[in-house]
Amino acid sequence: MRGLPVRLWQRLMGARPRLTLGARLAVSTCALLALFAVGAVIQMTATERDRRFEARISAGQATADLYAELLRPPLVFEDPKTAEDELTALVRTHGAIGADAWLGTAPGRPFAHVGASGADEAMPTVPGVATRGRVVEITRTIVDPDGAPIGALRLRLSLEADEHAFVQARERILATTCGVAAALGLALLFSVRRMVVLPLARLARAARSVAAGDFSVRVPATGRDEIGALSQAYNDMVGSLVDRDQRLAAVDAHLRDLLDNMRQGVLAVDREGRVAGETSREARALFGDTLDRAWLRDLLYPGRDELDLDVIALGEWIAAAFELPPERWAECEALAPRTATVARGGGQRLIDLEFRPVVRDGVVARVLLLARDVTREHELEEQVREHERDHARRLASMRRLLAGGAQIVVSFVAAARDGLGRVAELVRAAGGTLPPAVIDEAFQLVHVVKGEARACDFDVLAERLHALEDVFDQFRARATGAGCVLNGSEVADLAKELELATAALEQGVETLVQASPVGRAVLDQITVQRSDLDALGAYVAHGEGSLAEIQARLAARPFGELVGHAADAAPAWAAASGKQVCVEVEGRELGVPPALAAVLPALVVQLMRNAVAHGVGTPEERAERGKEPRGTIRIVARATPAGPVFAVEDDGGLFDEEAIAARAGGQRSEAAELAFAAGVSSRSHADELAGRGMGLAAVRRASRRVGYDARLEYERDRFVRVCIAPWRAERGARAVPRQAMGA
Amino acid sequence: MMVARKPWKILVIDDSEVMLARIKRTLLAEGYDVVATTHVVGNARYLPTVDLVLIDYHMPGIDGRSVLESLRSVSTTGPRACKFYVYTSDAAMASRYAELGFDGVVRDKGDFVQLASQLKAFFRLRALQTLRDPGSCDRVKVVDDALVQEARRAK
Repeated sequence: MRGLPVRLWQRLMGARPRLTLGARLAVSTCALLALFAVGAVIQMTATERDRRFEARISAGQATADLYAELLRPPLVFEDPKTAEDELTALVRTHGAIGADAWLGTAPGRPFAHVGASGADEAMPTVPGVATRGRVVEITRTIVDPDGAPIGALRLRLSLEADEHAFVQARERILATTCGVAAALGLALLFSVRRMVVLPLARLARAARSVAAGDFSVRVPATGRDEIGALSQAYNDMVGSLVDRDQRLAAVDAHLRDLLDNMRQGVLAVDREGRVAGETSREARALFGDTLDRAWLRDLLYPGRDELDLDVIALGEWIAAAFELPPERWAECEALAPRTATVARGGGQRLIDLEFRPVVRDGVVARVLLLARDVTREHELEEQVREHERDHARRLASMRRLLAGGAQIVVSFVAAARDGLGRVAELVRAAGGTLPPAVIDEAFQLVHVVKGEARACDFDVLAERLHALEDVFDQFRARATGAGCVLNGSEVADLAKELELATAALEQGVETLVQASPVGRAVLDQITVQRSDLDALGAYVAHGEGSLAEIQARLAARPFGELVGHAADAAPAWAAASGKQVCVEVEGRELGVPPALAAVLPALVVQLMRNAVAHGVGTPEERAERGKEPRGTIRIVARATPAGPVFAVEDDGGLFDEEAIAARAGGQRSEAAELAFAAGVSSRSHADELAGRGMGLAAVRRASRRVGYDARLEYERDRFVRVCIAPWRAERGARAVPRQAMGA
Repeated sequence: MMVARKPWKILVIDDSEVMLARIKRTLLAEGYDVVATTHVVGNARYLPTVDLVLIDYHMPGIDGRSVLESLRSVSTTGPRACKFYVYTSDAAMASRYAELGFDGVVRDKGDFVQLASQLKAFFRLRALQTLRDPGSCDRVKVVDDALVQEARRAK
């Protein structure tokens, strides 16, 4: 319980009671003044008392001396009555409380007595002054005219009145002293407050303002005393602080500018692995605005948990970076993460990471991370690499094609030039309105060239033609009975697309020339059979055989040469669609007449792509129908009496006669013929391979242009076959029997 | 004196030939020495030279735990020992790797870009552990020196 008041006091005043300087000065001043006042009062009252009593005693002594003279006659004449009268006058006029007179020198009772008696009535023998309590007894010897003692006088004076007066005087002294002391105290306090406390309080307030960052506060430093000097020193100190602060701010701003204008994002990491301190603008752009105290692992590997090996390795690296001595930094830095991928601006950004140590007192205090967005550089490098790979692939592809016979590529180039030239001519002739027939023909030409370009690895051209195909597809959708009316910009765009396609073709030709061991001469070469050359030689030498026959054989192209590239490309087309195919070619050596040889590669490519897209089916679809996962496409050439017949056949048997009939608006029984109608496809959507419903129409159109026709045969779940046979045979009574193309 | 870079050696045990082929191709392209096998027995002979064993825990008809235990029983212990990691895309299993007896986990099975990245992190981690405790593994130390010098050259 004893500590309760203390605790209460401490609670009221705080843990450590604080007294202000003013309060302490006030207390000290009051204490000093009180001591001074007490001393002064004691001194003054003592002086006053002594002064009063001494005056009283002096007056009594004078009175006693006077009455010693006055009592001489009564004593000489031994007249007690007169003596008492004298004593009575003495008592009455001089305020004595009593008086005694003795006659003679022998002790005895007083000769005369007035007032209060003394304690000792015996005659005093020694003159003088004696104090008994508050009574003063003054004794005088009465002598005769000759100076001989004849008696004695004792006068008793009361000090009550003096005491009373003294008390009153003391009270006045006390009051005056206290008043003076209080006035002095107040004056002193006022002076001290004004000269010391208030300036110090101003200094304290100003210091607090400086501590709070306000350097504008100054204190008046007018006095020439210590406070004035202190104020002046304070103002000088603040001025220095302002100057230093401004210089620091300038340095800080300079560094901030440097940081913010660095291409690298800069941030510092503490030993916990958290971001600490300033971060640069680029760092915030890379990792987000809320970086303060963020975990580095969350910045570099967002969304990954503690099981992630990158996160674990980063934690281990941070521990090593702060634990190892700075001289081993290189070893540590070599094991730091080099890159990170972060999501920014709706995409993934590749960040290059560099770490630098901040060494203080011989240890790594912080680690600086310099992060740089290298996404664009990485993309450019990838593009360059991809371009190089692409170029190398094209060259290799061309070399493969050339190794198998340059004629196929050269033929394609010629056909493609013809096709694109024909499209340009059709567009020019039509002017601003493209009739449906022109659109269809242009589309078919583009479609055929595109397919063959893909097969010959003219990928850029194929992409251009794909875009052109889309353009014609849109025109076809917009076309009315009179055709599709194009505005000026559409005509220009179409011409531009055609130019780009032609440029892509020529670019491919240049690659071909580059890949060819004979250079540009490859464009003017053909392959002939040695036996035909021998026959020609024999004819020239002996005049045997038919020159027209030999010429025809020389001009004919081997079937295998014409379709080889399509056979090579088909597995890749299938793989892109999640399918597997193998291609079998039969009748490779059969000669293809020159007119058909010019178009047959494109037709085979088209039919192969159709087979991949529609015929073979995915491994899952085939498994459901009890077939091997890998489909087979056969490319067959047969010699018949009516002439060579060619076919492309798949073993899927997925011909959807209902869909064809429904789209063409015909009967199921007519599906095999309806499939050749333009725009009819069994697929509901088009893709890279097929689905626009133009392939078979283009095949038939191209075939008929060179005297052949196309026919579709199928047996559900067994095969789908497209035959290209001489047109006259097709118009005749099936000069080419169906069995001729069977397995 | 430059120390020749000794490639990290990884033993991969999986029941899928296709997966093994993809893993092997990926890791060989990253410069690792890879032993890929569908066999669950006879792999102990690789352990003395292998730095990491990647095991597919879910193998039809094969108990991944018994494979792990049999290999662990013949492998050395301590910091020089090879590490056994489970390779899985099963998040629940990944979180229980320690309970299953593995030293760690490589997740997102089938993501071979991620596999390459995680294995780089793994070997960085081993090198860092060696750096902090140099006497822990002589073999790793040799490789670490080479790694550090290689990184210096690259810079």
